[in-house]
Amino acid sequence: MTKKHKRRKGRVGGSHEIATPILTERAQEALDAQRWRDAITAYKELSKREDRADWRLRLADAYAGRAGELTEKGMLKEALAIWENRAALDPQLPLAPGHAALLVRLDRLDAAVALLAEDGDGALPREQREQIRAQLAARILGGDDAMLERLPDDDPIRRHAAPALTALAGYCDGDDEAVRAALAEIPFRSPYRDWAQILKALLLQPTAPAEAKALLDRIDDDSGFAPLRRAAILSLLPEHEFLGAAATAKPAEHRVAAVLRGWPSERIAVWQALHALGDDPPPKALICLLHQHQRVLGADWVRRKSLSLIASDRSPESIHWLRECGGKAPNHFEQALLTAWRTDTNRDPWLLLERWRDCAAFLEPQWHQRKDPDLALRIALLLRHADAQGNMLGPPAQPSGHPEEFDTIAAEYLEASLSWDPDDQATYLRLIHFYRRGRQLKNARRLLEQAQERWPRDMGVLEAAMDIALDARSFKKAAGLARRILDIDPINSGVRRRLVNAHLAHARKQQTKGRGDLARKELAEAASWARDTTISKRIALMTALLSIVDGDPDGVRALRDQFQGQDIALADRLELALAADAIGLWLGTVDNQLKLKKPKARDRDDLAATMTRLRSARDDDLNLSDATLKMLEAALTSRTPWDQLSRVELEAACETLARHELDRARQQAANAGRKRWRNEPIFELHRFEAKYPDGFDYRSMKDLWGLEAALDRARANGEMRTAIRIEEALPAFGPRGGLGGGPIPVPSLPPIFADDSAEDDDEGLPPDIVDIIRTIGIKRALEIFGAPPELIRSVKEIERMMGPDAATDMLLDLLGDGSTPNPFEDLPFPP
Amino acid sequence: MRDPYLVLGLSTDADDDAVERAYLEAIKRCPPERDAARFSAIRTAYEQLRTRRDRAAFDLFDTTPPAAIDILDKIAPVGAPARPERSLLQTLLRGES
Repeated sequence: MTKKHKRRKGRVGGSHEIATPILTERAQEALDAQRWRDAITAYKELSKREDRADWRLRLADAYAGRAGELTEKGMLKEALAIWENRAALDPQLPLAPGHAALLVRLDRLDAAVALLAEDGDGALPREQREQIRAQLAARILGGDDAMLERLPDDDPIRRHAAPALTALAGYCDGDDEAVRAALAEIPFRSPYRDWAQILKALLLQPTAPAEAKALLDRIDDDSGFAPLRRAAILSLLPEHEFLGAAATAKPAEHRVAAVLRGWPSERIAVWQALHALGDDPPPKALICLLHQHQRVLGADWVRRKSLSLIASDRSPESIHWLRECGGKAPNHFEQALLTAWRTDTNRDPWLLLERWRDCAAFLEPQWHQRKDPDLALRIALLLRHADAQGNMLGPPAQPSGHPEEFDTIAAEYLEASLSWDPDDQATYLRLIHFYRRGRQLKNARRLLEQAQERWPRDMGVLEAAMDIALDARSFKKAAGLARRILDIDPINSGVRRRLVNAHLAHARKQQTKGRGDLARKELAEAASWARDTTISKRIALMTALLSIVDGDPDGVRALRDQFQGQDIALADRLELALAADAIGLWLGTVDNQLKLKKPKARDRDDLAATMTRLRSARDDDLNLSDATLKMLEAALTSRTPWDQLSRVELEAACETLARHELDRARQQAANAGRKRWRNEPIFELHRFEAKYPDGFDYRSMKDLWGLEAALDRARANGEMRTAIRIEEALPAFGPRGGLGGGPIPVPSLPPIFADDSAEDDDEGLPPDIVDIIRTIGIKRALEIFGAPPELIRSVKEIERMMGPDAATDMLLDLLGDGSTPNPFEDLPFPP
Repeated sequence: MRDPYLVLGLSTDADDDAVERAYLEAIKRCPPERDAARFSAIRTAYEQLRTRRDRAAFDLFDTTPPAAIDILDKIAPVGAPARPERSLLQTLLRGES
């Protein structure tokens, strides 16, 4: 039974019934839109109605378009039929280049050769003739040289064939001289011109790839040599681009390109296998591929990479892939390793410690059998890995001191690792600094001694020793160590600074012991090491201040002359106070002896300089005495020109004051900021935190609401850092999480929740409470009242489902009618 | 990330000296001004393999799946540019794929 195919009805419709003008219009539209089949149908119909040259030409164009379309699809015979239809339209119609190219491609070389041979009188356009010749020239070099005999003697394909073939042979044999000599015989207007360009490019490729590329770019895409050109260009791409581009190239092209790049045949074969797996090959497929090439890749490499591939997949079946791909199933150690790898991203320190300890435990029995140093090193690394991965002992971690805390276990593992690999200095130093941070100096010293035995002149170890000496207030020892370090590394400014600080600290120690003479000696030592002029001046000031301690009238007079002027800058008074603090001299004594007036910031620059000094004092970890802080608090709240600082300066000042807990000054500075830059959330935050340093005490709900509004503004302005800080500040003021840690009394609230009998009106809750809840939102109200987290979660859930208003109403109803257990009844509200 | 052994052209049993030599040769061949990305890869590879401890740690803890280029380099590293056989060139010249 034959199948009956429906004929496709084109968009021009049944052209028989359409009037000629309309059909002409539709035919042209189809041609313009490259709807070749419609155009062919329409122009054929039109040509039947009237034999017009212009319609015939357009029909020829439509045939050419359709033939090109079919050629692209690989339907070469069908395309040739269409070309033949085109040629039959008019014997005078010149042969299309595409037609000629297709004749060559379909091995109808006779037809192409005949075309040239018959064109003795030059009827073919020159360009077309050259294109056909180039196509034939490529075929001759491709091995179809028998056709040469059928061409006229004077045809350039025949005349230039010998040097072109010689060049091919020379290139393949590596005889570059022969290639160059042969190419010199090929004239510019030769059918082998593109061949000559490609060969020149290939000769240049290893040494001058850019020039080679420029030569290749001169060759047209429809040249008979275009496939070779494409392969040559492919070979010039960088490796990462090549892998992608080769995937879309024709096999012969990427094979040629790969050889040109120096790819051995095995590499090409594996690349093809990888390419067949797709852009993002599944891990199992890769494991199988690795096993297929195990002989070349090496069994160990295949095994190790296969384990990585298994680890990259979270499915439980992945553990069986090795066996399914022809390998052995993972052994116990490999299984432990796979489990540990998968734990690496986990934040649970216990899990990390346990998994990596398990891995080490599998290797320990093997070491006892083999005593292999590599095995010992691996055990050490496994014991250290949990700490490295979870940064358990790095700064700012401190020893908890509890034997069952994870940091204690991690430190134990690290110490144990040193018995397997005692040469890892980094582990000693990590442990030393960890113990130092927790003031466990005995442990730190124990490890330091071990490290010093191994590396007596190592800078890191010497610095650690100096740090421990400083921690133990053994200043003399610290100074000696610093000197040793500077002997080795004279430009070590960090150690020099620490040495100066050590002498200064020692001076203070001597001064407080009443040994002014020794204190002076220490200050002189410090001065001799100091390279920074600011520090030198500070030391000079400290030395001068010792005259007060010594009761030296001349020294005191000199100081008085220096500081007793009418308009002493606050920054200088701060410097004096810091110097006094540094040698342990009470500021009140200094003020009395020097008869100093109460300080204040004299102008904007003085204020800015004071803030800068205060900030650097914090950065240097200087401890300001209470007297100094009191002096500053008074000076900075007495007609201080905060409003003359820039926004950046004022914000930095607020931060500095916060770090020194100078809250009154901070509040003033923040208020100045709020006045000048209204609605700036950061100043709202500083003001709030400064006003309630011990926790929000419900003095003014307006402050709380103001901060909440600032939070909204910060979010709206995209100031996410400020928004986060405000968010962190807000819950901290709840009654359960107050800054002081204990519950905060709520004096203004009636004891509504504590006493069920207190409320029996219709609404159930007092109107003030209802108002507060509606204003600040149910969630915030619950947080302020310290409701249990599960209740807050439930309310949030209701809020998500029903919206905030409905949730508020619902909860107020529930609280009001007394049907819900009172969530607040256990709270410590005042009676 | 590439396999550092393959970046430096080393076998997995290379010692400190071999790593050092391979690194110096690699940066001589590919200084940063010629190919910054390649130089950076060489530097990273060197840091991963510099000491015996580094190499053991890489072997224990690296879980990077092998890249296609690693597999290719391991099986058959790229050699000096070669010339295709005549028959292969002729296949292309005939327009065959």
